[in-house]
Amino acid sequence: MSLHEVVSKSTQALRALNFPPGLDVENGKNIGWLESRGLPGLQNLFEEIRTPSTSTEHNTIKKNPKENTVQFSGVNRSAFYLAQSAVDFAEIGKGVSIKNCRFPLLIFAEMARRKHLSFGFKVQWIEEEKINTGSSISGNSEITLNSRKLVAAYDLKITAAKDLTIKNPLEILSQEKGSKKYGISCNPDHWKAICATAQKVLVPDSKQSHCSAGAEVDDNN
Amino acid sequence: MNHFSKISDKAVEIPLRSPDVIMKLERLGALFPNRLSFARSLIRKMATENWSINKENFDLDNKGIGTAIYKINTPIIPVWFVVFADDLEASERTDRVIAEKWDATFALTTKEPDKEKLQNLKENIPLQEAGRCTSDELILSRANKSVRLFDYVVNKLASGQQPSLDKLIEVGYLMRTTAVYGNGKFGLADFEDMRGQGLFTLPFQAEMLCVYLARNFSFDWVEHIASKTKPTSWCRLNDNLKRGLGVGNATGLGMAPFLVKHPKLISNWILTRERALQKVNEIQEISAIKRRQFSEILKEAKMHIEEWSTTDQRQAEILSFIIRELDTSPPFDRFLKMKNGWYKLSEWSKENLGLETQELVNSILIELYPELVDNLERETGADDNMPLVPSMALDELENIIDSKYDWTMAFEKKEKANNARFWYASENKEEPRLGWRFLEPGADKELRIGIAQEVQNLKTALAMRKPTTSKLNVAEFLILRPEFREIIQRIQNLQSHPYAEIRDNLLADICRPINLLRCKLAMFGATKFDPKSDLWIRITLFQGAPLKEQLSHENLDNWLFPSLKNGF
Repeated sequence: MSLHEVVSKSTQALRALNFPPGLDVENGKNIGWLESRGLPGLQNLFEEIRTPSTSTEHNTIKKNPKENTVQFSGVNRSAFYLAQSAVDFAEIGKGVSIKNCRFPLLIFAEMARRKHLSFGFKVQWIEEEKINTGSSISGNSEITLNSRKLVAAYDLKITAAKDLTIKNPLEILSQEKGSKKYGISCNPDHWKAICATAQKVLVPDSKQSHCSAGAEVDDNN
Repeated sequence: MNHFSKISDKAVEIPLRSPDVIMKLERLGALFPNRLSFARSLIRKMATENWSINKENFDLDNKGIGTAIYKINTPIIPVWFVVFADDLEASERTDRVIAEKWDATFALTTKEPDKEKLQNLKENIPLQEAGRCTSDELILSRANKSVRLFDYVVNKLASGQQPSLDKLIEVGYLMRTTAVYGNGKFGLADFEDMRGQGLFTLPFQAEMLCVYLARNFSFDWVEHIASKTKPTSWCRLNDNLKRGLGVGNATGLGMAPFLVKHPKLISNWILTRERALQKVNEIQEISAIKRRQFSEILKEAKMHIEEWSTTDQRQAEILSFIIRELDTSPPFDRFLKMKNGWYKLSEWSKENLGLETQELVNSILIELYPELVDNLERETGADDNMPLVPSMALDELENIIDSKYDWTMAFEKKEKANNARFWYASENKEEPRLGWRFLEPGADKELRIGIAQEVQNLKTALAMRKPTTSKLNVAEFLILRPEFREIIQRIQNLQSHPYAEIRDNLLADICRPINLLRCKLAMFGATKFDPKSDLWIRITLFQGAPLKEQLSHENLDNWLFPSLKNGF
C-alpha cells in the first residue's frame, strides 16, 4: 500500500467512527507516520474499530496552575480522542499527564509530527510494568519500546523539551529499508475491516445520485 | 472627458489584485491558461533538460490492439510510458469515472518493463481502479478514442489524404483521457517519494507528462491503423496538423473538492500568476518589440477563440462577446506608449471589458515577459500541513476571522437556498457528486466543503462563550468544542496565503462548480473549455505543444493560443 492509501483510508474510517473534523485527518496522518516507520498504526485503528471507545464525551482536564500541569481525566480513553489536545497543552508549556489511555503510539506520532516547532517533546508511559519512552525534535524522533502490545498506557506523561539529542532516529521505511517497492504492508483482515468502516462515509448509488455527477446519458462522442 | 483622462501618467506602485476580486467563482471560471500553467512549464523543462522520447516497442495488431512502450530519457532517471490499447464498441465507452473499459490504458513507470514487469502491468493497468499498482508506477491513466474524429482520421490517412481542417478544429483531439491518477492512489508512488527522486519536483508534472505522451501515442496509433488498413496508399499525419491537435479530457466534480482540500496549493498557484501579472504591470516603458508581440498574440487569441467549439450556450455567448470586444478595437495602442502602460491597460480593461476578456488579456501580458515570470513556476508547490497554534487567544482568532474571513458573513446560512447543496463521494468508485440537501439522501455523509458555513458556526460559538471563559486559548477551547479543530487550523494557517479560499458559498443553490473546474484546468494549461453542464466539462490539453521531435527546436514556447488555421 502507498502512504496515501493508508492515510486517506484511515481518515475515512475515523470519519465514519464520528471523530470530530480535524481529529480524523490528524490521526489519519499519525497512522501513516507510524506505519511508514514500521510502527503499528493500522493495528491501533483496527482495535479502535473492533472495540470502539465507549465514551465519545469530550475530553476533560484538571489544571494545576501551581505545578503548571494538566491532567486528562477519564478511564481508558482512546488516544484517537486525546492525542491532539494532550500535545497541544504540552506545546504551550504544560506538563501533561494521562492516568491511563489506549494507543499511546498515536501521541508519540502526534508530537513527532509537530516538527515546525523550535523545541521538541518527550513522552513516557508504562505498559506491562515496563517503561516505554519516546522523544522528538525538528522532524527527528526515537522510541524505546520495552513492552510488546503497545495498546494500553498507564501514567503517561508528555513534556516539551529544548535541546534534545536524538541518538537513534527512526528511519522512514520507504526510503531506508527497501520497502518502497512493496509499500506499507498490513494484516489483510485488519485492512479489510478498516476499508469496510471507511466505506460508511460513501453515499449509496442510486439513479438520482448517478445524475449528480453531471455527465449526460450519452457522453460518447 | 474621454475614458483615458482619468488614468494618470505617473509611475505607480502596483499592488497584487485583491482576493475579493480574484477568488470569486465567476472570476475563477473566466481564467485562461498562461505560460506558468503546468503543461507549458513541463514542455520548457523537457526542452531545457534535453529529454528524448523513444518508441521501444509497438506490438499492435491491424486493429490497433496491443502494447506499446516508450522510453523517456531525462537527466535524472529514465521513465517508461506503457500503453495497453484496445478497441471498444462505441456503446461501451463512457467518460464517467464509473466506466470499466477503455480504448487505451496507460502507466508511467520508473522500472524498465521487462517480461515480468510487463506481465504485471498487463494484469493490472487495463483494470484501472480495480487493479493494483506498485510504487514503481508514478501515474495511472486511460483514454477513449474520439468517436467524432479517430476513425475519420484513420480512413483519411489510409487513403493517402490529410483530414479536413474543419473536422480537426471541431474536435481538436484524437483521444480523450477520462482520469489521470497519481500521488499514491491504487498503490502508485506517493508524491513525496516521487519528489525525492528529483525528476518531478512540482505538483502535477508527472500527470502532465502522461497526458503529453498519450497525445504522442494517439498520433502513432492512427498512423499504425491507417498503415495496416491500406498498406500501399496510407500516409502520415502532417506535422502541423499533429501540432494543432491535443488530448481531450472530460472532467467532473473531483477537481472542486481538491481545491478546497489543498488551500495552500491553490493559493500558491494563484499567487504565482498574480505576481507575474504584478511584475508586468510594474514595467514603466514598453519596448516596440513587446508592443508588436502584444498585438500579434491578440490576433492569435482571436483566431483561437474562433476555432473554439462548444455546445454550451452560455460559453458560446461568452466567446461571441469576447470576439465582439476584440473586434471593436479596444484602445490598447494608446496605453502602450504611456508610462506604466500595461497597468493602465489592465485598469482600463477592468472597467470596460468582460471578465473573460480581462483574463485573456492578462494571460497575454504574462506571455510577453518570460524573462520576468518563468522563474515563478518554482513557487507553485506547497505542503498540506496546517499545524494548530494552541496558544492563540480566542480574541486573536476572532480578529483573524473578522479581517480575513469577512466574506463568509455575506450570506445568511439559515436560508435554505444558501445551504441547498451538499458534496459527497459515491459508493460507486468514490465518484464525487453534488446532491440537493433537502431532496435526496446522503447529506449526513457530506464532504466538508462549506468553509463559509464552518467559519460562521465557529464565530457563533466564539461569541456565545461565557464571560468566564472569554480569556481561553485555542487549546482550552478545543477541549470544550473539539469539532472546531479543523476550521481553526485552517484559519490560523491561511493568514499568509491570500488566495487560499474560494470566496463564495459552495453550498448555495446557485453555485456553479464548473467555475472551479475551469480554474484548476486553466492552471494545468487546458484550452477550449466546453462545459457539458454545470457539473462537468471537456477541455483540450497540449494543443499547439511541440511534438516530441520538436522539443529541441528554437521558438517552441509559443503556443498560448493554438489555432489550426494559423499553422497549429
